[in-house]
Amino acid sequence: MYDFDRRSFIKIGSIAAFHWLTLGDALAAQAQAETKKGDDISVIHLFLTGGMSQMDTFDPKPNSKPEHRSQFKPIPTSVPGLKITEHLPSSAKLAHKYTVIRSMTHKTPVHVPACGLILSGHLPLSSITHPCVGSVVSKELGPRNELPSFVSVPGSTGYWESAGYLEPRFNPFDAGNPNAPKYQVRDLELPLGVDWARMDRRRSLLKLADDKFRQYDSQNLIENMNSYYQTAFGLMQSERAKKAFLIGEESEKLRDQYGRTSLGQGALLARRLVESGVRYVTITRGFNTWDHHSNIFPSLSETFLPELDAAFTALIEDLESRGMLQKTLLIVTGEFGRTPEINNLAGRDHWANAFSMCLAGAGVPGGQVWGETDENGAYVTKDPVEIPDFTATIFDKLGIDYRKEYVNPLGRPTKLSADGAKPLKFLYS
Amino acid sequence: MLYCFLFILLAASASAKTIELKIYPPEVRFHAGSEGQKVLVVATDEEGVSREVTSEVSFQVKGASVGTNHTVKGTQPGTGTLRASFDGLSAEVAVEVLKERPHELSFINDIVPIFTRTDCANSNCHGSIRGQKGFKLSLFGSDPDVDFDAITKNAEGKRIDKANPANSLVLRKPSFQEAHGGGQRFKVGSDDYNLLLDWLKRGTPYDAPGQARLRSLAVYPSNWRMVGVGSQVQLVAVGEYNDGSVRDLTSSVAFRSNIGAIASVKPGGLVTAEQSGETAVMARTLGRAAAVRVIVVKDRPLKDYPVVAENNFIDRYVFAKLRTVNVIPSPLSTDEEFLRRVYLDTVGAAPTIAEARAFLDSKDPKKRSKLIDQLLERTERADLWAMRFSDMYRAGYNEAGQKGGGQYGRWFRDQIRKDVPYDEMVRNMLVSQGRHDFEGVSNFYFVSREITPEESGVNVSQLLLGLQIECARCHNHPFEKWKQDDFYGFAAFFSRVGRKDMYLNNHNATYLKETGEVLHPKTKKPVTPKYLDGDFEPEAPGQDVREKLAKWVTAPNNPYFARASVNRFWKFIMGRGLVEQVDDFRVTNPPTNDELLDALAKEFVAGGYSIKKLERAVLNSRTYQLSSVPNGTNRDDQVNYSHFLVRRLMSEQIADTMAQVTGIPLKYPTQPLGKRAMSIPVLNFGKPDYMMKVFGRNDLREVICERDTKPSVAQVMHLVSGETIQKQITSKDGNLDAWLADSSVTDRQIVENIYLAALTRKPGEDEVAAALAPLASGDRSPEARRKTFEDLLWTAFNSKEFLFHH
Repeated sequence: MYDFDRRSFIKIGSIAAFHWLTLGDALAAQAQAETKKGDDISVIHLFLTGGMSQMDTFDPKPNSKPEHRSQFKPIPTSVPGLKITEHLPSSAKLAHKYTVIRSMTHKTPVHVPACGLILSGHLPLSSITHPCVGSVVSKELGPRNELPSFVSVPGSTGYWESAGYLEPRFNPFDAGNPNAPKYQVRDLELPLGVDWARMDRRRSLLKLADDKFRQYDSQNLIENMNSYYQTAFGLMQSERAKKAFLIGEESEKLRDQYGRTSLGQGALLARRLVESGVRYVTITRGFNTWDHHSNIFPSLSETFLPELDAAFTALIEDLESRGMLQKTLLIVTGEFGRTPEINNLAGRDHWANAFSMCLAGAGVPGGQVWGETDENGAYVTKDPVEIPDFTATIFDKLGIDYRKEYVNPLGRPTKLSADGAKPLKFLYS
Repeated sequence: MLYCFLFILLAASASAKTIELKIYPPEVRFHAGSEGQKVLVVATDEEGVSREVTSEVSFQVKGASVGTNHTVKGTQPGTGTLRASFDGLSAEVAVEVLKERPHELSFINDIVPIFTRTDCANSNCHGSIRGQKGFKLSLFGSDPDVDFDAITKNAEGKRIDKANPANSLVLRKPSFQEAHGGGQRFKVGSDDYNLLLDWLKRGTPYDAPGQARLRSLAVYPSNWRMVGVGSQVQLVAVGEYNDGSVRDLTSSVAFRSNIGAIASVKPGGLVTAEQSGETAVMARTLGRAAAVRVIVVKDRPLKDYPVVAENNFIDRYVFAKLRTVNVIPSPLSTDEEFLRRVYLDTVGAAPTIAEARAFLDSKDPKKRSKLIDQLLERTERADLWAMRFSDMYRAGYNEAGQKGGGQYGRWFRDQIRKDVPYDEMVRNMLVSQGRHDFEGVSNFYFVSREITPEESGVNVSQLLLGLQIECARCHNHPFEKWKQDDFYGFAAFFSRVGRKDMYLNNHNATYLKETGEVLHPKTKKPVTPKYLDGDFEPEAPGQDVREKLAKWVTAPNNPYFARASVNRFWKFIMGRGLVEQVDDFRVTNPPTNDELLDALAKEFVAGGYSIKKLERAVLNSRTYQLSSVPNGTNRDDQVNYSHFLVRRLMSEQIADTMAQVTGIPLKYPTQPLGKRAMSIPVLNFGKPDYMMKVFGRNDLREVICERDTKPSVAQVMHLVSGETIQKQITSKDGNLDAWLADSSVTDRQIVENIYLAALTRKPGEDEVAAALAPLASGDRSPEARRKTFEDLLWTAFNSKEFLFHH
């Protein structure tokens, strides 16, 4: 099995080296011929950077110490015995569709390294940046068509959400904010006053210039850069790509259902992108926005939770009604949780010892609660889940061998998910 | 057959006479009664071609004897000489027979090396961090204690069979008497098998305390050029132990070629040339490594190798190396190429039309060196260096470092303007403290949220010494001598360096804490500061131990600092370090031109660590001024500076040159209109400029890294239809409108202006014709003319000639 995969990868690689544009076609043909397990699975990650409070959302602790206690009440859900916060009412109704993990845990309560950890499965080093899961997926599976395989909405939050030490072609493609009034993808359209006829004239002038410069190039830099030009022009001329980003095609009703927020419209855009062939989409409302060090309760109840509730549930229902939920892994998590203790600014600080995550689709069982925390929501008391196991699960669901090794720039062989990681069995049905 | 052989020998000797004969190792030392020391003899002919002739020479030896396999042995302690004669020449080395030492079987010195040389302790097998199938050895035998436990104790001791030693798993698996994922590593009855069995039979003893440990490993010859594919050389390895004893390790070490396709090596050290190129052959044992630089050239030296003029010492070393690899440097760059290149490398932008004309029209034979002198005094040069240093030293860490990052960048600029000696700069950085937004240099340690000694240790070793010791944070370094003790000992110099918030999140300070210590992760005990590869430096009360460190780092005899520094500066200008990566100096990663690196370092120290002096020498060298157009011999050479290395410009060079071409000023958040991107140390984090970001400028300098100059789809889309370019070419009242409005400026002259401003050259006739084609049909309306030249500007800015330094 392993050898077989390796051979096919090399074969595609060699085609790609000669003609980048055919990579999508080659992969599509290959996929049809072999129908690799997981190749048709896509991922949408609602990335709540800053850190979502577990006690005020999916792991309510009504009996915690009074000085720790959430102002929010737990409410029953569609799953008997499972309660979540009152400010996620739609999520409560759909609880039978997803798994809640209450026992996520790691040891890095600092945003940047924790973002790196949750997105890549590896703790960052100061000398190298690990590629995030979306970039590895880009590298391992390649694009399905002329659309990029990995998209960030509105855009990469930082170097931790990048190809790291891999080639830059595996960086996420920044989609911009689809909730902006005249949303369009940056630079995807030709500028005003330039039509394709004029662009073609420019391109013929450019070819003349580059042909002249070729004598200087002993490193194949021109061909390499030109392959990016071909990809860019392919994307700019692709009707499929243009259409995928036309969020205005969706009904007002559906757009309202997702919520007129960057997270909500981002989730809707993600569905359109996945439908059009994108493999991996991360959505944020901006880096570190969930970092509620002060006034956490009004922030959550008035803004953050309604926003999340709408985006999360609309996505589940929309994907399901289109028959896409079984092929789409939906992830909701930040990089860590928040302190059970409420600080003197009425906020909660960073807490990585225990936090919650929700997953749905792609074979993840619905109505499941995994793991437990103590009565304050501070420490995991049952079935702790480590981050590398979480990323190994994503890889596995996409048919990528999570034990595969890359040699990082320090010369150290590094498995896709840290040594010893294993997919989480309870996330398979 | 014999006839044929003789003929070849005669032909070789008739065409090129042997002029030098050498014996390795340079002194032959061994213990009386031991296995002795293997020697190697090489002959060099008048054309500079060396080959191994050990089996063709006649030996005369005093005080010892030469046995089989060219091994010198002796039974009586004393001194003597070894003489080798060949082709009318002879060479002599001293022989020292040391007193006999009883050789007891040692686990460390005899058994551990077996697992390294048979590939068991590799990083992809049992030497991996997780071991293999539960059996974990230390990587390349770096930790014999670990290996001893793994073999004799772990897995409930199942790997040895005390009752029947030959039945031990540790013997049966590698000899493949039992299924083994790693296949057969040695045969039953082989030397390695017998050695291991012997040790098992003796009851698997561990060494007595005080057992001699390997102190150093040397391999000869250390540099070797192999002429002709298929030619061979036998390497010789010598180990020295901490009790003063020596041992021939030729048959004991693991030999490995970095690039086996260029030169392959067999166990025992026989190297064979496979194809032209450069590689290194490593010898490893007991965590030590030594490397032989190997060059393979297909043919004997070129008979008609041209005489290449040398401008200074740099050329001497570069061209000498090129000659040894039969590569001819490209011709001198044209004036246009040189002009563009030297402006981009000093001022940070292409020359203006006026600057270009002034230089190109000058007939002064010394105009290049005069221009260099002028450019070295330009204030923009300090901006470029400040940007290089800001990238390197991570000015403006995260959002919290924005204010401080700006100050830091300005501090660098100031240092460059005054040409402050680099050693002085670095000393000030190492002992810095203060508020980040007041004292630029105090940002030196602010490269992570909390300043930790470990982080500072990594930072200082990589940036100032070119050493990667971070591996040793978690485990002993796999390829180098650095152990965890070294890592934490070095980190301990920074144990009192801390960060504090002043009154707002954005106002940080570096300060020296009253107390502080670094705990060793294994012993959990405080670690005393220790120089890398040097002594302990306990911190005295009331003293800042960083001052001592600063002196040690910048001492002229520090083996790392000057070489690491010039290597980085050389790369800034030449596009590739003599050692790559620039922060990864190690025995197993030798420089492509050691002699040049030494010469640059020496020159730098002798010149009082003046960056400007060093830069002047580089810019004036013919090497720097070579054309980037390759010739038939050097197209494949990307490491020896035979032609100027083409590479993408920095984002600032692109943007600043663009604005200069169009006369349309660019605007960055919170900065005055028209301020050059290169002169802004840290851009606004909240709203980074897209063009800057997408072309690799990184204002959140969080990881030790170099500028990313690789292409991306987003870059290309921005060049094709992005607003930066669009505004640059369509905005009114820039240079284009001025030319269009001036009736004395012809269409052809506008084309020429654009070519000169953007590409620093005249357009060819075909280029003029293609650019003006839309106007040839007769529509010369203002709109049509503007459109035509907009298209030409777009083309210029998208052309690789514009985007790539050449």
